[in-house]
Amino acid sequence: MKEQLNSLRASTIKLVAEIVDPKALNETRTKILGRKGELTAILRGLKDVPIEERSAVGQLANEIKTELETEFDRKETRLREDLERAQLALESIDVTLPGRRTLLGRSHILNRVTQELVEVFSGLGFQLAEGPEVEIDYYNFEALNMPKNHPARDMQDTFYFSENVLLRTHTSPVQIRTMEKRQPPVRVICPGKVYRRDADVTHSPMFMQIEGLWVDKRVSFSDLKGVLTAFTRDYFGEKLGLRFRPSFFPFTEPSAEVDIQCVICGGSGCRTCSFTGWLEILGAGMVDPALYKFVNYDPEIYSGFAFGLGIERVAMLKYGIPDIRLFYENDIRFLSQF
Amino acid sequence: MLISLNWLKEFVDVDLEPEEVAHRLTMGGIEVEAITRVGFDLKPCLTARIEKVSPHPNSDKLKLAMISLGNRNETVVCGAPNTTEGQVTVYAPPGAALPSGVTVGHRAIKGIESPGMLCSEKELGLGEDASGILVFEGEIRAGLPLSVAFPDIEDVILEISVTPNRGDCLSIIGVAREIAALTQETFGMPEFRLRECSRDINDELSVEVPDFDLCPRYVAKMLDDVVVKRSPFPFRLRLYRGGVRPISNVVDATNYVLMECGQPLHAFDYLSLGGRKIVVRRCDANEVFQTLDGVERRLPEHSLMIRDGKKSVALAGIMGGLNSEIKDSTTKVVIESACFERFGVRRTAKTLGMSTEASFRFERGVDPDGCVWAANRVAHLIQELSGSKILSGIIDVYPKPIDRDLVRVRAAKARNTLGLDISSEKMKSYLTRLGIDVRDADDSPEDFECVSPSWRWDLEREIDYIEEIARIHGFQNIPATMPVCESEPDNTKREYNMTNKVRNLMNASGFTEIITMSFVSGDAGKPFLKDPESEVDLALLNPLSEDFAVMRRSLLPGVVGALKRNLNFKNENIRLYEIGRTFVPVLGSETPLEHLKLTGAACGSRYPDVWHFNRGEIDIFGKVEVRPEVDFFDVKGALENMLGGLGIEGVEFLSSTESFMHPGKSADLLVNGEKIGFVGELSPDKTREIGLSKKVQIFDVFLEPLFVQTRKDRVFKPLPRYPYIERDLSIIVEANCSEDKIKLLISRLGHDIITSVILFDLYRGESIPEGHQSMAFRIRYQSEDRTLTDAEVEEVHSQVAATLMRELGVTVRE
Repeated sequence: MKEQLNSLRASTIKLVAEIVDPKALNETRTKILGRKGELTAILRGLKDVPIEERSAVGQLANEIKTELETEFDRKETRLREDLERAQLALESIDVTLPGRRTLLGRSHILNRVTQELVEVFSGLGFQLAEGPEVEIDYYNFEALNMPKNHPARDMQDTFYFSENVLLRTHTSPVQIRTMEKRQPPVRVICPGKVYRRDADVTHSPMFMQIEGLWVDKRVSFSDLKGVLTAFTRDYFGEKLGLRFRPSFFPFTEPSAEVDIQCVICGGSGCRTCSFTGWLEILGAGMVDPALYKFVNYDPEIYSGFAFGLGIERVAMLKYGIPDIRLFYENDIRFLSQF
Repeated sequence: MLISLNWLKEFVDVDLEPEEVAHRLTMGGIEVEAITRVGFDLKPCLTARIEKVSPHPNSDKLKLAMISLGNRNETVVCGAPNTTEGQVTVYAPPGAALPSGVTVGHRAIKGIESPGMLCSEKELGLGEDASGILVFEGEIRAGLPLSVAFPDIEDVILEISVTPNRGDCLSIIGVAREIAALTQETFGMPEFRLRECSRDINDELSVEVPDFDLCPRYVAKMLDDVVVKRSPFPFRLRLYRGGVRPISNVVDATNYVLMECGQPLHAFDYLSLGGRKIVVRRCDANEVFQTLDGVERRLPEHSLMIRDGKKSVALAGIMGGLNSEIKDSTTKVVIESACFERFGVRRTAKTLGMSTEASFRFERGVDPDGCVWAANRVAHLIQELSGSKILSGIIDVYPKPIDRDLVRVRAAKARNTLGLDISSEKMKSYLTRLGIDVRDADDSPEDFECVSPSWRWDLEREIDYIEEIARIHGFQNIPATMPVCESEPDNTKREYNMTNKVRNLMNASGFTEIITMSFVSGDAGKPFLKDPESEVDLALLNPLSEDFAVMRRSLLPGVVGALKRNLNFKNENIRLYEIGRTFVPVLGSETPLEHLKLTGAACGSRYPDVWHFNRGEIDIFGKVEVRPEVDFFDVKGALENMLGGLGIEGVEFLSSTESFMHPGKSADLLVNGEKIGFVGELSPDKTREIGLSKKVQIFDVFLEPLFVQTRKDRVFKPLPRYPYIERDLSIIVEANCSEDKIKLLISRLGHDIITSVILFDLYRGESIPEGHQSMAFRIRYQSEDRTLTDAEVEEVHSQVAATLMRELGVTVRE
């Protein structure tokens, strides 16, 4: 009987190994281990086994039953897993296909650059001021130390509506309007659109500027250098060289142009920087004392500095954009690049 | 301005590399924009004497020139008409690369070998004359390298940009003086000896200046026996390198001195002057005058004129007259060296739209003390160039000599302004280097007083001198410090931040921001006006072109224009918006009202052309739209997102009254009952009028009223604690019945357990009677204080159904 049991064990293990179908496996399990199965059939002969062997044979039968149950279970799990794997394989998709995106627009690159600049200057303690784009002569020129017939007016070719009304040529009128409204300390930046009668690859009749003004007791030219150095380091990078050189603006004295080392060639000279290694990025200076009389500040008590930069120029340098007109053509293929 | 380094070195001992000179100037405030080396490529060229000219055997136009190069002869083929025996000219040997880009070859021309060529000044880059070969005046040895015969040939040209306050640097001498101050090298004025004849100028000419307010100083000098001819080559070269076209020796001499010292000069033909006198006074009313460029100009009031006894002969400080210009036959010359008042010259030049070398300098201020020197200098040069006689004496009308103020400079003020620790002594030494007369103050050991040199108009106030101290010290040598400030709360960015928030919300709905010009053509706004004739635009007096003639009253022309432009480039699925100001003229106000607006437009597919969107959508008629186009609800949805994101309440959309919109597919946007914008489809006739090929959805919203609204704070609502029950209600109703109407009826029932009513399906297709639609609502029931039972929900739900049936005659579908 032991032989019978061992033979059943061996044949079953072999049989199970060959089964590939869960249904067949189940049928085989019933056929062998079921109530009317082959194992039961063998065990019916137990009564014919000598009594002293019976317990050993019974134990063997139990062991074999347990082993075969486990064998069937293991096989069943395997088959289920195989089936599931096959099912998953059928469900597989091309994960390289594009996802279902929501349509995303974007802000105009010039407004984004403006936001970045406002952010940097806010961090340095500046507040924000805005003013009208259609200005009167007084705020745009007169109160900025540019009387009628001043040659410096040539630096800014102006659009007029009448002798007295014009499109602002810079955001400086906002500085005057701000100072008119309050005594120092004044720390503001003024972003906005400005207009000059000029149109070519580097000039647009409408463009954007951001100007800053800081007036308080004991503000010096060295402070101007400090603040603008902090700004350029923050915005253009720590390593970029920076230089201040004398210039002229009617509303500042001393006046300076601020150059940064060319962002394209790093200072070795290229077409962008006309082989000078430097790029003009800011106009700046100490507020001319003549301005204070227009806004009732005492120049013996207060001093301050002002600066301005062109947003387009910053964007052109930062992104290598060759033609200013691209900003205002509004071609979606351009706008969606940034 | 172009500055020749060779010329500069005649006045200042500067032994620095050109790059270093440029750097010093730039860091001193005279920006050098370009450094150009010229003439260095002419090294192989030699002077050559033409020994013999013979005809070319195969050509009537060409000649054979046998030339001497000192130690040898060559025979070259030459086509220049002026080739003559005995001339000294320039020979370029084979291999020489000329500035024009030509490399000289050794080739046969019409069958005759020509080893090299003779050159014109144009070919050599030494002038503009291309009519014949360059012929040198005077005795020049043959066979010399060109740069040995004329050391000026090799030069470095600095292109400088001079700021409007530094008129004194618009000359070689001015720049030389500046370099001397910056480098502490020695500066010296050119020296010359004037040889005058015995005849006195006062016997031949008198000068009256009645309008001396516009002409503080007028100096005249005279020459006789002048022979007007071409200036010699080295003289012409200087002018050419400075960007001035040589004309004749007399005119060239005035231009030379102008470039040298910055004093504009004018030469009159004495015999064309009537009455042997010069009168400087304002023009007559409506006077017309012909300047020497041949243009007749109507003179603006207060234009200052130079007149003879009878007529105007020059537009003072701007341009001479055709009637008195130097002619080939001129023998007697009057030189004018004047100081005209800056603003007067500027006013006239500006009104006439003229800008000349002279007016440019007068506007920026010339040195009143330099007039006499310049007059003598030019007389001397004309004598050198033409062997003429200089009449003795000079006429100098200078009734009220210009006085420079004594300006006190406080050392402490300078230090505080600059943030620089610098001694008073050092400041004084800087200023002295600039030719400023510095005197110690009687009452202070530190402060001092300054008088500016006559050529510096820009030094009038203490701050002007402080700037000079900073400039000579070098901005790079001033420290960088951070200013100390008291912190302050910042409430200035509210509107700015709101605007950026609108941007972000529009971006999130797939709209891309554009920026269009604030000025548009006069016609651009018309399609979007109710009554184009009665609304007045704010027009520019001097627009760049008709396309930019008036300030926009609406952003729509710009936005629609940008859309059209994109469609032309086949960018077909687009959603654009702009945030910007409109300008509306106000009666009785000089300046317009500026409104901040949000305007946008969209057209093309609702979804990107990507595989998973291409199964299409089923429309309310049950039809499959394969590639649905952007419609009213897409754009309204974007606005709703934006308004929701800003937290605006009390929003309504009502059928629009805008005349240019599709009457059935447009809505006005109201916030708390006030109309602040509109949205919808552009009407078909406007779409055609504008020339758009597609249906376009547009919107236009005033932003400022929204920003006021958002001041309201939001208040927390407790989250529901009990579950909700949803019931659907499907009805068939007349097609013109709005969702709003049904919602209103339901809300009027006043059941507070109804927390939301959402239309989830709308259908007008098959199986629905003509003129009707099927609407399916999902109603949510929820209580704040208990779990609702099915029975109580059922009761309310059937009441809702019954009400709709009664009030609207709807059929409820099961």
